[in-house]
Amino acid sequence: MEEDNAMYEKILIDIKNLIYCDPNLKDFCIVPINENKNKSPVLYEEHNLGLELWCVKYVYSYLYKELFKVRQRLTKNRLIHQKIEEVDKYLISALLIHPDVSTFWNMRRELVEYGIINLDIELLLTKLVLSNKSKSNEAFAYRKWVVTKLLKAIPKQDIGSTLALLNREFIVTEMAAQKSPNNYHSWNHRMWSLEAALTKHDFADTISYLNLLFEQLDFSIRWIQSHISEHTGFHYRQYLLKCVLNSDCLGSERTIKSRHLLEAFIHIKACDDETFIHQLLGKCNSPMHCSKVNFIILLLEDLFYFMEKLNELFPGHEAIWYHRRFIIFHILKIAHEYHNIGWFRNVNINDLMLNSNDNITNIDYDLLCDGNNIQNYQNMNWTPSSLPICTKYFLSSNLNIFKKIVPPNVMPHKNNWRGGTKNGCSVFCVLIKIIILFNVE
Amino acid sequence: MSYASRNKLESARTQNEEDSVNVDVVGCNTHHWWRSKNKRIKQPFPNKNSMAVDSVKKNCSQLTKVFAEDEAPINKKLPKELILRIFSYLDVVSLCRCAQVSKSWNVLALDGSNWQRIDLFDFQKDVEGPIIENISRRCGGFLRQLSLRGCQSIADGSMKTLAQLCQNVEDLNLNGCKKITDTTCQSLSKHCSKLQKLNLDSCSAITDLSLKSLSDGCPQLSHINVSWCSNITESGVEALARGCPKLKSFVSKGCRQITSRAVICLARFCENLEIINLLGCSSIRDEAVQALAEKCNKVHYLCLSGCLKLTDTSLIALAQQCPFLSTLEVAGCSQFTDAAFQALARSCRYLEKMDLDECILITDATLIHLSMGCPRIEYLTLSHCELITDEGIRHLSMSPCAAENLTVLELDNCPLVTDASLEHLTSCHNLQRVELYDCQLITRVGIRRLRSHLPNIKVHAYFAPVTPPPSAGGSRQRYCRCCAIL
Repeated sequence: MEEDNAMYEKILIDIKNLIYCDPNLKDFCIVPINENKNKSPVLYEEHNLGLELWCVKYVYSYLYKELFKVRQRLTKNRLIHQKIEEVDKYLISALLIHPDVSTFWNMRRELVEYGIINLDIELLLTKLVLSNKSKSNEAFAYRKWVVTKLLKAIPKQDIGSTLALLNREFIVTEMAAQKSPNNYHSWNHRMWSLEAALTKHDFADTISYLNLLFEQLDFSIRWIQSHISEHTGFHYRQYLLKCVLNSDCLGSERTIKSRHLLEAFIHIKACDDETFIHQLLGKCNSPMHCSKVNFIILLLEDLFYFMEKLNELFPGHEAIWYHRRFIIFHILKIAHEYHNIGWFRNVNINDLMLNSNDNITNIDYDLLCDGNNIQNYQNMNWTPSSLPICTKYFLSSNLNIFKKIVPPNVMPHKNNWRGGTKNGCSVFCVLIKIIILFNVE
Repeated sequence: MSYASRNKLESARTQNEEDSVNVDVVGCNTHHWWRSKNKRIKQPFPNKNSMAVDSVKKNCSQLTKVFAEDEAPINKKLPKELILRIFSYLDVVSLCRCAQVSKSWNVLALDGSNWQRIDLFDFQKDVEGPIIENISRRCGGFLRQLSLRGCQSIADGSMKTLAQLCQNVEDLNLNGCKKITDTTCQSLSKHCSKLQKLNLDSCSAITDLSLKSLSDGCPQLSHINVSWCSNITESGVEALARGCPKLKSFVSKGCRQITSRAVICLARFCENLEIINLLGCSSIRDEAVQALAEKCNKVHYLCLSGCLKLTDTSLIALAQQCPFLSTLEVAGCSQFTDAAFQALARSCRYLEKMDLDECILITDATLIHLSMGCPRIEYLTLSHCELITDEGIRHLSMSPCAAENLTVLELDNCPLVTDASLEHLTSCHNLQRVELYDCQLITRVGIRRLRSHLPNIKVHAYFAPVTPPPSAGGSRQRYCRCCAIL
């Protein structure tokens, strides 16, 4: 028994030493090796850490016993310092093996509070834990706690170190998102860190924040291209777009460049943002806010370049259509606000079922296929009696853009429209209808 | 001592009122240990200075109460000197408990003569500045030895009071008191000229200034430990060496800035050095060890682990000049070869403990020489010595030291060692522990055979325990009884 304990201790010391000595550790995993030779189960190769499977159950039960022995004393801060170092060692391995025990994370919090362990080690440890179990909620919660502590220590004007910290979070969350599909924990953490940095420095109106967002937008494009059917990536992109909407900063070179591209695409000639909006949505007395202009430009860019390309390369992915819905919803919403028209909300969803009401389908189809049919549209007898949402004013000014935003390949045939042969298409069409009628948010 | 105590006793009586004001001086700032549950509230006794005529009466009644307590049988039978003598054998906790028995016992138990040697390691979390100040006030010149190991909240202020009040302190252990800075050492050097042993292990704020002031004010210093004080450089060590020629023990683990020159100075001025630990002082070169060997012939403990620049020259110089060497730790000194150990084994016959971890050049030849030349070896570490084979172990196990003395043998990460070595080791009757981690040719069968010959031996290897581990959180039966029946 005593000899076995010595072995466990040695394994634990090895793990701790590796973590303390190599700040560039990348990965931890439990290697499925069941045969047991007289060889260290702690594997270390090219900054990756491994633990052989055969020893895990023994080591963990040893750890568990030892940790619960000292827990009481630790919470009361009555543990002598030598023992505390041991507790640190035990906790590292316990959390690597089994990160879902909140008690152990809390014990680590206590160690940090008493100033015994360094926060950098904590970042490294959570990273390793996440490399093994990338959906561990506890690990993310703990990391949040650590990052909050680190953020607190950064002086208010020192945006540079915050950005460095943020960058570290981005790397970790990307790693965690790579490891398991649809890892919302990871993306939420990413958004949380963005927001934490924002609340810390309150730099929503500065160009550096906007640039940060643009960087992230570029990143999310790259991510989505390689993870086409994961809605998480799209969700993050939508979050970023909304951040742009909330930022008060004037357009940067980046949006101006995008605008020029768009102008070529929609055949609009505009020398500045204001005329661009006028051309796009019609004239209005109140000028549009610059953040909304940025937002619209980014949305349109997504729609015309990005979604098109993705749809061509990976047809039939629902996530793309959902994103399209998001874009159109927001474009329409902004257009409504721009013209000061309220959303219509009180429509019974049953009235909109494709099969139940042919009228709507037809109307939409006609409308969408033939933009000149506007008169027709206006004179239409709407079945759900109160459907004045696509008001005359809005439609007359928006029809051009509306025609553009619905891709031509969606509705080449009337049959396709209703038949649902293309899953994504039909879903999208229903959705369009719903967003026109509803505030989907 | 008894004479001193009697004097103290008498003075204690006259100061009775004053003492009863601060009942449990030590305990009054600690709320955790030795303190009785019903908190003692400071009673409004008039103290000496403010004693006015009208309070004399009250004071008298207090005195009679104290004497009434003295009427207790034990106090009647035993003279105060004897009680004091008995108390002198008690530990800190018991003394403080006794101090709560009665006023007279309080005086006796908290008498400075009982508090000559204090170790507060067990109370490291509770010890704070005011406690040290109270202790130093209470003990005064009586205090000889104080260990504040691990008391991290101790800072310069209270240490200054201590130095001023307890000028006779000889042995001070401040291991791990991280808040302590040079100011402490300056006040120590100013007031405590009798200081002999000082441990500043892990006091990371300590710099050369400390060593300089110690060299000025504490010429009696014989033991100093400045391990992990990474600010210490050669100039500090040089000053210390010049000022404290009686130095016997110098421990500076992990002081990377200590250079060959510092060690040469130590060797030149402190010829009485016996214990030297230079673990991790990686810039040290051969000339330093040569100087040590030449001047300090009495060295019996030497640790040069992690001094990577040392070569055979060092060991040969040691072999020639330091015959009394009993412990030699040279872990990580990978340039040492068989030739050096041959010289060492020939002349240092008293070697008991050797740590040769990661001396990767040594072969079986070193083991053969050691087994012939050093019959006292108890503790031998050969970790990571990858050239060691069964043949070397065979020679070792046939040597006189193996049969008599060898208790610990570390062979981890020696890939050539096989079960045959374990077979040879069966003749080492005293062997208590053998480390075999990562020796991949060792099998369970070999270990079992060794155990059958030496039933008390501890074999450390990476083998999963045969019996399953006791389940972590109390095993509960999976099925209820009726399910089992079904």
